[in-house]
Amino acid sequence: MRLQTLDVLLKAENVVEIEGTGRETAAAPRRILKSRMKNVSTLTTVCRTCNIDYGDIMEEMLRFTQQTVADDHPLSSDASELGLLPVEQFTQLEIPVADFQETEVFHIHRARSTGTMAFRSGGPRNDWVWIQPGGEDSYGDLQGLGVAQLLALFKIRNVFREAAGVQHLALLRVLDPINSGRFHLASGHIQVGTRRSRGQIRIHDIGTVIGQAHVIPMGEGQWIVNHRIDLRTFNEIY
Amino acid sequence: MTGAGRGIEAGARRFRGPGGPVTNTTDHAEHTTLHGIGGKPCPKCEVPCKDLGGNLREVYEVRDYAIYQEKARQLESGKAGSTREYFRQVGVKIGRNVFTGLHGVNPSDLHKPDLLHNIYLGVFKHMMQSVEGFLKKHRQQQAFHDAWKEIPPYLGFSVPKKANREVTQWQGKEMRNLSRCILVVLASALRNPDSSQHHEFQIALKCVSALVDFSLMAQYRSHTPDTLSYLERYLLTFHQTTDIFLEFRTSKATRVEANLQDRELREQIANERAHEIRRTSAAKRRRQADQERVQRVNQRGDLKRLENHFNFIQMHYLSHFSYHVQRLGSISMYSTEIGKPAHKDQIKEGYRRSNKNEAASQIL
Repeated sequence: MRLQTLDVLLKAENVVEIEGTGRETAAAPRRILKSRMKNVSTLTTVCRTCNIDYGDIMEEMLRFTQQTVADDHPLSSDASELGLLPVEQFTQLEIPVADFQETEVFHIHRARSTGTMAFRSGGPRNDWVWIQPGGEDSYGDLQGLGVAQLLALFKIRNVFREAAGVQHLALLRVLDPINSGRFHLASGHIQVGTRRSRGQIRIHDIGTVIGQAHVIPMGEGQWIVNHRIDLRTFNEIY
Repeated sequence: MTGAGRGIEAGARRFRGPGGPVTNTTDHAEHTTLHGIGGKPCPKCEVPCKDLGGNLREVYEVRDYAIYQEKARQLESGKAGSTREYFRQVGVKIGRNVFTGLHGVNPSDLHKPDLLHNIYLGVFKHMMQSVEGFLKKHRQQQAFHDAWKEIPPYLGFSVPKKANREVTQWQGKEMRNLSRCILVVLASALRNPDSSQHHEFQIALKCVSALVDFSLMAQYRSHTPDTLSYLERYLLTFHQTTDIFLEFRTSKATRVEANLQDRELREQIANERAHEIRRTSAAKRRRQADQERVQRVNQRGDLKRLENHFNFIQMHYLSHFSYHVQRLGSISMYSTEIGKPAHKDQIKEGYRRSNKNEAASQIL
C-alpha cells in the first residue's frame, strides 16, 4: 500500500471509523452477511433460488471441501451428507473497504445477490465483486484480482462434527481476463469474459471477496472493468 | 485490495499542507471581477488568449499586480501614454483591484484550482459536447446510449436515470458521476470500428482517458513527485490528442462565417455555369455537381480547421494544477464542491429555521 499520509502511518491508536454510520471500532470491521432469505434450509433450495444445477453446486462444494484446511472445520466430503447440512441464504454482503489514503476510515460496500428474485420491484440483482483467490502475480495488470458475479451468499453449518463450525460462503461466477489481463492500449481498460472451460461457478469463503466491482457489458459474454470508478481502484490498477 | 500502487516509494517527498490565503469565489467570472481583468485572461499568469488551449511547455510570466497598480497611478497622473496599450495586451481592465494594498496578499495567489468549475463543469462539459459530435459523425450514438443504460450501481455513484442525450443541463454532481463512467461507456460504444475508423477511435479514447486520469489524479489528498509526474503526463497526452475533437468545436460565429462563404461559393459557381454552353450531357452535369459538393465541403472544413480552437480558460487552468500542489498542497482542499453543500447546510438550513426577521443574527 502506498500513498498513506505520514500522520496516518504514525498513528498509534488502532481506532477505525465506519463512514456514514458514525460507528468506531477497535479493529478493522468484518464482513457481514445480511437479509436472510425465507424458506431456504438446504443446498437443494439454494440451487432453486439461484437457478443452478444441483450437480454443479455439489461438485463445487466437494472441491471447496477438499481445499479447506483441517483447522478451518472442513465440511464433509460425502455428497449425501453435504446435501443434508442446514443452510441459511442471504441477499446482502457488507464488505468493509478502507478509504483511499486513510487507514482509520472504512466504507461499507453492500454487494447484493438476490438470485432469481426481484430486488425492490425491479429485476434480479446479482452484483459484481472483486475477489483475490491467488497471489499478485496472476491476472496480468489486475495484479491478482479477479472479477466475479455473486450468485448466492449462504452459511452452512457442519452438524455432523463435534466441533461444529459455520462456513460463510459465496457462490460466484468467475470471469477470466481477456488478453492476459493487459490494458487496452488506447483507453487503458481491461476486459474480462466468461470462462470457456468448466469451472465458471466457484465457491469461495466470503473473506476472498474484497469489494464491489464496476463492470459494463461489451458484447456477448464480455465486460469492461471500470477501474476509474473510485480513487482506490484507480490507484491499485494502473 | 493489495497492490503496489503507482510506484510511490516510502519516504518520498509528499506535497501536503495548509495553503495560503483563500478567496471564497467560485467561477472564473467572479475571479475576473475581483482581479480587475478582462473576461478571458488567466488571473495567475499573462498567457495570451490565443494560447489558452495549448503550448504547455511555454512558461508565462506570473502576474505582478503591484506593477499594474504603479502603471495605473501613472495613468491617472497623465505621465504614461502607452499604459492603456500595455493593459490591453496583458488583459487588465483596471490597474487597481480590490486586493491592492492589502498587506501580505499577492492577488495572483488567490486563484485556486477548482475541481468543480475547472474540470467537471469546465473541461468535461466541453468534452461531452465534442464526444457527442464525434459519436454522431461515426453513427455510434445508439451504441453509446445502449451502454449508458447498462451502467450498474456502485457505492457513491448515482446511476443515471435519464439517457445522456436527454439531459439538458448538467449539474456538478452529475458531471462527477459522468467522469467516473464515461470512458468505459465510450469504449463499449466504439468497440467495433471499421478499418477507416480504427485510428480515430483509438485517439478519441486516448484523449478521454487522459482527461479522466488527470481528473482522478487531481483528487488525491496527498501527492509525491511521482504522482505529479503522472499528472503532467496525463495533461500532455490530453493536449496532444485533443485535435481529434477539434472539428466539433465550431462556434456560432464560425458557423455563420462558413454559411456566408458557402453561399458566396455557390453564387460564384452558378455565375460560371451561366456563361457555359447550355447543352451538356447528364453525366457531365452529375460530375460537376459532385465536384461542387466536394469543393464546398473542403472550403467549410478548411475554415473550421482554421477557426476552431480549445482556447478557453478552463483548459489553461489545468496547466497550473501541478505547480499549485507543489506550493500549496492538494487541490481537493480548495474545491468549491465542499463549499456549496456547506452553504446549503449552514446558511439555507439556518434561514429556514429562523423566523425570517433579521435572519443573519439567528443564522450565525
